[in-house]
Amino acid sequence: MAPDHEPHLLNLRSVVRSNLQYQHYWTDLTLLDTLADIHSNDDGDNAQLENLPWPMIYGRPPDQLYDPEHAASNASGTNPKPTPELEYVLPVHLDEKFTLRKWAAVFDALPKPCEDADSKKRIVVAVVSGDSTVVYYIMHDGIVKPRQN
Amino acid sequence: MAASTSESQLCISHVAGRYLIFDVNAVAKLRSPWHMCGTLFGTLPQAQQQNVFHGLPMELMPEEAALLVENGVAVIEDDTRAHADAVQALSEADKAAILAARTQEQDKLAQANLEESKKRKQIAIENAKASGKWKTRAARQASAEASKPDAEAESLFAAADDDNAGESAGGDGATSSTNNAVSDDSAHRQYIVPLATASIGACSLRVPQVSSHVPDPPASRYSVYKHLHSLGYYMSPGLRFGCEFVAYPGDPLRFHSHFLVKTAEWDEEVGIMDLVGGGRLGTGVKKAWMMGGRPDEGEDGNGDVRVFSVEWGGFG
Repeated sequence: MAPDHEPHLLNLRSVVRSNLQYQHYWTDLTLLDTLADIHSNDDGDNAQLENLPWPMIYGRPPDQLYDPEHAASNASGTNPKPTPELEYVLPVHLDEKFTLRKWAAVFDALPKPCEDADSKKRIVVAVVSGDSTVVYYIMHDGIVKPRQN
Repeated sequence: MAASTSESQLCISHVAGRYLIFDVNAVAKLRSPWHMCGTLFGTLPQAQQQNVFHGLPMELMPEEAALLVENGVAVIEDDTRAHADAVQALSEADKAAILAARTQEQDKLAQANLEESKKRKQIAIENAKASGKWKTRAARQASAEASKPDAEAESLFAAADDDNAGESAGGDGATSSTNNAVSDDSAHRQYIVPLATASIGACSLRVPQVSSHVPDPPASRYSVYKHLHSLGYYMSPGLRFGCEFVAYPGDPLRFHSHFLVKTAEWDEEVGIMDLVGGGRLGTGVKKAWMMGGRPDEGEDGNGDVRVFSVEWGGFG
């Protein structure tokens, strides 16, 4: 279906997509425009044509992005590297301003991670600046203790 | 309007818009069941430059004061009025008693100081004798005359001069100097005696006054503070990390902090640069940056506080 997000947001997303693909070697990149795009990844039953609050990207990083457990076990064991989890990426421009309401809406559109009760929703915020530098930040929905602490 | 405060309630003094605790027992109580550490900022009267370890009073954040008052744990006391009333309530007899108590303290300090210096002098003499640098009276007189015949200096030296006379004469000299000092009050009582302002002897210097003032921190800050506090976090002021609170998962003596907390109104615009700066700084010091606030009542999940934790992605 035709995405009807604003063109500048789609443009921003294509910058981030290229950056992820060619500079950071992400794979399985798909573009997410509607709620249907997200939920079809799970079962496809509750397809909705409603737009996401923000166009996003879904993809697989070369290494597991956030895994405190793994960091601990990596030191001791020599297990084969598990397949990294897929991540939701939200492209934003450095000059934008977000309200808490907007952040909440972004998270509310995402499916619950159902592995265990403790795990929180997570997105990767891709911040694009005017010189096309892209920086990436992990954002959790709720209180998640820092990785190194 | 005498105190309607029950004994168990803590007293928060409201001084020039700050919330201060002057009672060490209250400090302990706040730390243990209430996990509030506050900020100690009291210095010693005679070592104002010593600022590594501060003591009482302890300053509370408005959020902490608000939470304590809300829970009935503490009352806000109007410090200005408490002092004014206490001074008015003081009788002449009380004043005399307070001055007497102070004089007594000062005399005690002066006496202790005198004995200390006497002891030091004695040790110095012993050391000098042991090392053979101790001059006999004749030798000293010769050298004193050679340099500058000073009658006053001689009479001073004469007191603790001779080998044998040293002990006894030293005692006499001390007594006479004490007498001199006692006759001159200003020289003798120069010691600063830290007086507790709550009470001196039997005289209470405070007439507790429950203030009508209610701590009123900004709603977004207070809601986030309360939320994290209810989850067992210890919060301290965030100036050091450019945020509003630093949140510790337990007592700051045992844990490093986990979060640099920024709060905002639900519809307040926060620039992405704040997220980048906070996230990068936080990750650099092994913490996460946290942004939180509370939706207005009746929308977005019944007004529950919502927070987001941000860390650097590790790439880019």
